[in-house]
Amino acid sequence: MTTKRIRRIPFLSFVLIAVLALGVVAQSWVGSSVEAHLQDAETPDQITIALASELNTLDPAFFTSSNEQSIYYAVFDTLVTRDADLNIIPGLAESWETIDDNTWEFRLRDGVTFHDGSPMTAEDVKFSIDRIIGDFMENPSQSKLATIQEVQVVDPLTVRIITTSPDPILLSRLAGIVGWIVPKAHIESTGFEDFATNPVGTGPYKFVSWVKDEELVLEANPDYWNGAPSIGRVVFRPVPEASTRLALLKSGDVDVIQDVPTDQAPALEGDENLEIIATPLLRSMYFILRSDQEGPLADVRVRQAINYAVDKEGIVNELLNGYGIVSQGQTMGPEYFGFADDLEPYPYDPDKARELLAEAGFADGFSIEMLTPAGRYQADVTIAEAVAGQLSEIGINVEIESVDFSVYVTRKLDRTIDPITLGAWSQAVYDADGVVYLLFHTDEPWGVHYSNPRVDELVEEARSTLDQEQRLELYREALEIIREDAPVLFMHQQTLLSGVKTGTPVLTMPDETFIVYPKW
Amino acid sequence: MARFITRRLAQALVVLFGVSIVVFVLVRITGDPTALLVSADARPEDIERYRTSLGLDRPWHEQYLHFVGHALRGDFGNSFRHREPAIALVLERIPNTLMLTGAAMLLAYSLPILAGLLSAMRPNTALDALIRGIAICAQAAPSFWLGLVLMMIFSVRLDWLPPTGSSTLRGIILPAITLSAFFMATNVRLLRSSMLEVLSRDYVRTARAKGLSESLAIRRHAFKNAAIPLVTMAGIQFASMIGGAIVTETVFAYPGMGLLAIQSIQSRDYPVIQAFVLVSAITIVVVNLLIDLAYVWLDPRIGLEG
Amino acid sequence: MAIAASSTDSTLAIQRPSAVHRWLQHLTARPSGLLGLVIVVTFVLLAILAPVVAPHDPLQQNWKVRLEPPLTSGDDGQLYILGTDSLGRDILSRLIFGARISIAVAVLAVALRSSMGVLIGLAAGYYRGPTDAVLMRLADIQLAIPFLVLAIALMAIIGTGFSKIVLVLGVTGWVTYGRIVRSEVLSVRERDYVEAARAIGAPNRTILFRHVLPNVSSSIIVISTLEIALMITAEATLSFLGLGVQPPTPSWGVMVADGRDLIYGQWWVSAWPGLAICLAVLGVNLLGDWLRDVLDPTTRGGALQRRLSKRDA
Repeated sequence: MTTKRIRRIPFLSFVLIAVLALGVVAQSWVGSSVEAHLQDAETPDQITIALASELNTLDPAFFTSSNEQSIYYAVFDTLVTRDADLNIIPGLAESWETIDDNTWEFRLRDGVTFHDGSPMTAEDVKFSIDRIIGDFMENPSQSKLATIQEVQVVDPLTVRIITTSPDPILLSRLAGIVGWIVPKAHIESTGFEDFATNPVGTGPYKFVSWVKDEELVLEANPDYWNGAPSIGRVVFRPVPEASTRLALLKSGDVDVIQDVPTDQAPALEGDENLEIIATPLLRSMYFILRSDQEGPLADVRVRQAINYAVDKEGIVNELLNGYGIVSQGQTMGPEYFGFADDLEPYPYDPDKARELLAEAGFADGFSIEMLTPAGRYQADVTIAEAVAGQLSEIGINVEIESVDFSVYVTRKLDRTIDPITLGAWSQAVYDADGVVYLLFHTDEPWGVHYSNPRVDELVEEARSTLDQEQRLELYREALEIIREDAPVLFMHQQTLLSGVKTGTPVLTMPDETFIVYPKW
Repeated sequence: MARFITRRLAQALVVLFGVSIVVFVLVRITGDPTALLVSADARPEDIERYRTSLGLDRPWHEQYLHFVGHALRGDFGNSFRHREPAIALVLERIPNTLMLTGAAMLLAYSLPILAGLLSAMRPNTALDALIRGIAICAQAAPSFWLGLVLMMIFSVRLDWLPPTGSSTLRGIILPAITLSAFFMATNVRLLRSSMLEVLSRDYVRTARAKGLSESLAIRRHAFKNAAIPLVTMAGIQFASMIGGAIVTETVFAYPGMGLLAIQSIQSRDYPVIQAFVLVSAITIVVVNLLIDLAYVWLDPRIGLEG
Repeated sequence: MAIAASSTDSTLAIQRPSAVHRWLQHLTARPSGLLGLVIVVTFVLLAILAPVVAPHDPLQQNWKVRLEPPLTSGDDGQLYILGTDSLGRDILSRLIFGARISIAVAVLAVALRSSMGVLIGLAAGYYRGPTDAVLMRLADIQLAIPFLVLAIALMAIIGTGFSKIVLVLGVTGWVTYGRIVRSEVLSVRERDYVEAARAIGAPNRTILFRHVLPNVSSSIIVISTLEIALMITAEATLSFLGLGVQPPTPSWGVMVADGRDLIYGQWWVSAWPGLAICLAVLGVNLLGDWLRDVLDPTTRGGALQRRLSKRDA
């Protein structure tokens, strides 16, 4: 790794790959030649980013993917946002306070205008949240703000948010995802349908045009409340094929490409005009080991044996060229609040695995099916093949079933996945609630088919406790139990690779969004 | 003739009606789209509510009647992904796809005529073998791979052409070659064999015996006859190209109907799939109708049974 | 299309007695046919003898030697003639075992296509009337839906894997055969000997299989050979769309599709299977051309090719 010309992003920080204009202070530089970099950096007039897939909608209420979040971040603002270290900082709200456990009051920034020139007021904030939580539009995101009972307009620059029960992660929910503030008057006159293709926000970039499958163009908002962006235009182009994206980057047609396969990294590293930004993601990969079914996996020793039998280090270091971080016996990384940094990964120990299998009465192994989506997650099928290969070493004969993502999602939702199923999960609330509760609580719709009364108790309590220290302890205990119970094969935290023309001022965040104008 | 046309039109309507049922049922058996249209962690209650809003909770026959009723008026419903009229999404891509297939047709009918004639006039020579060898290899290469290799050579290494297709002249060259490779190869072989066939016919032999020079004989008699299958093929190949464009457009990120179709299928965007399939079905049916007519017109000996 | 297809092929016929003799003659007269035969036989032999011929276990992963270029020696001194793939598996061995899958998919799919097409064509041509009308409209419907759309939808319903691929490629390709057989039946039906057979009370089935089928068998064989080539590439296209055979089973299509992300760094991962596909298709096509000339000297296949050039994938 040391010889490669890349800068890896350490815990809770980002790499700035160029001087960000506007005098934004660089947060942390890892690696060498910072000065050289500073000198190289020239602010281009336009940045073109090749995304791996086309967006569905530009209306945040209907958001479906992290790519859309990149657009929202540029076009809209949230009440609160995050800095480079992922701390919550003021956004459209200058300040906030809790009146009581269920009441939050936000003081809005004065003088902020939407791109259509209208001022942003408390009415817009109320409208933006009401349209998510209310029933007056059939939006699919209601539950993302389900803890909000009501939004009250106190005066044009003050809003109160009333929650149904104490919500320790309310600010996280508002800092992105569906918390974007949209113009009430504009939407009421043009309608939601139009808004999905002609968004108007308060953000650093204005929406210009979107020709689907061709390009989406944003233009700097000179009146941005935090200072005008120096890069005049940002263009997003959807390019589904990874090799085509690489060709575009190499030929100079685009400045940034999303989602470089780890095996393409050497092709980028060999080109002095290009570099790689590697960002550890919120998404961790694991294999669900269904403990809710009759069969070998019902035995905890078998599940542990599987965890011992797989060489996670080998997979990350060899197969993924070092891009990835072996999970520490939990399905999340340190970006999440609640991460337990003292838990250890299951070591690679095939002998121990065989021993455990024998104890469980499967000395001769067994046959089992494994489900994986094809081409959805980084190296998904390759990793499935690698794991299957390793399990065969301890006598477990795995039959892989690789399916299109649409089939995979349907089967997950129908709860008809195979006994072993590749899973990958991320939650942009940056909080263990989104991972530990949603994956390991009994009967969660996207959960890993695991049930443990003690874990249920712990994560339920953590969900409505405002004392963050206490929450940490609750999650700590739950994570320890889960690690021991091994309802999943813990794999790794993914690292997203983006290829950029050297010096292009763009950042990628752990939730995979691209940031051209950082708001911190 | 009028009776023939009437009957073919009636058949075409039956076919389109059949296509509408097949595609309607097929997309619905592939599975429910709602979970794919929301964020990856959506709650079942959110999904359920969204499904209702899309009208997918209603019985199939009701959905079908609604679909046909509106489709007859040119309304295919709103795209699930983009929430705008599906038919507009398909139609606005037609010019791009037509440009791509048009360019591919041009290639498929220019180069092969030269190569095919050369091959047929000097059968079983080294040149003939070379041409046929290239043709067969071009027929064999998987088009996605061919496209990526062309891109690597001409865009990245040589830097002659842009790697992705936009509907500009330079941008369309690589996708058009990729799409037409198979058809170019087919047409070379087709023309060669029909030339050989025609050359062996009596009247060409007679013409030669009468002392017409080789090239004149070919020009006057043989080529004209040998070209007939090629001409009638044009429509069929055009229709196949519209289907084949799915792969080419994906590889070159070319904003045409094929790219839209594959994305819509992957996200189960029923209205767009239905609109796409019906629009391509209409294209194919109309083109076939025209070929039939053209064929009858070109060669009246052919009966009008069908 | 229906009319175009029925125009020139009703003259297809073979002269059975001298067939073997003529075949041999043609083989020596046309070296390209011989070459095709040699290529095809070689691939088939490789496929059958895969466990004996392959230098390595095609599924054996060795992460230490992943993505090594051709002619690399592993740490244990083993030679990887064509290099290794992303899991450190020997590409040559996977190619050899992949021949089994790719050839089997193609042959079985074509067998399914032709038998379906023959049965439907026989039924349509023999019964005529409403049966014919319904079947031919079905054919039109199928042709009006782009093949890939049909294939992807079907595979989303029934799943992916070897047998599913065969099934999908099989059921979506009967129309060519169906139309040829139908038009042949229509023309043969009225001939004297069929009338005579019917007059003496021969059952319909006998008439169909004794008198009609032999007349179309040469076209069926020729089309089938050429369709095998098409199916080999179709399998690759399905793999490109993520609908290939299930991993870790190697097939040429899956190998090309998996290697396509690596063409800038490790060209060999997709180039070898791509080359294998080209060679196999070349062999099958040469053999097909030759067969066509042997079986059907009158038409030289112009009309056949016309039908075939409707590309499936």
